[in-house]
Amino acid sequence: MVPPVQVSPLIKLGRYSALVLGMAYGAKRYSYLKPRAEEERRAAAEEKQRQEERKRIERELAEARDDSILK
Amino acid sequence: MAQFICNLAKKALALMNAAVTYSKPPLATFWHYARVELIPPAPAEIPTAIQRLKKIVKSAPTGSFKQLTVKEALLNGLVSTEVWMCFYFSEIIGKHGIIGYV
Repeated sequence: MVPPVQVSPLIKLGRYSALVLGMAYGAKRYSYLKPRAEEERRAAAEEKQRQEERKRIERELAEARDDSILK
Repeated sequence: MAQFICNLAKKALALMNAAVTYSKPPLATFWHYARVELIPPAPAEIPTAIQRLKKIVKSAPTGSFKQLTVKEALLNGLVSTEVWMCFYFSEIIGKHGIIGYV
C-alpha cells in the first residue's frame, strides 16, 4: 500500500476554513431567502386563484350568452 | 406468524453481520489514509501555514511567481480548485438542499 501523503498545513487550513465558511454562508443565505420565497409562493398562489376566478366568471358569462331559445 | 418474525429477525441479523464483515477491510484502508490526510490542522501547524501563505502573497509583487514551471502552476490550480469545492460542498450542507436554496 502507498504510504499516506503528508498534506501541507496550508492546504489543510484552507480546506477546513472553506468548510466552515461555506456552512456559515449557506445557512445565512438560506435564512435570508426563506421568508422571501414563502412570500413569493403565497403571492403566486393568490394570483392563480384570481385567474381561476376570472376564468370561471368568463365561462359562465359565455354560457349565458350562448343560451338562447334558437338552439 | 411468530415464527415468521423470528426467522426474519434472525436473517436480518445475519445479513447485517455479513455486511459489517464485508465492509471492514475497505473501511480499514480508508481510516488508515484518512487518519493522516484528512485531519484538521493541529494548532502548532497554523503558523507554518500562515508563513507559506505570506510567501505566496509576497511572490506576486516581486514577480517570482513567474519562476514556477507550468506543471507546478497546474498542480497549484488543481489544489486550489479542490479547496474551493469544499466551500460549495459545505454550502450544500448549510442550505439544506442539493440544488438551489429554497
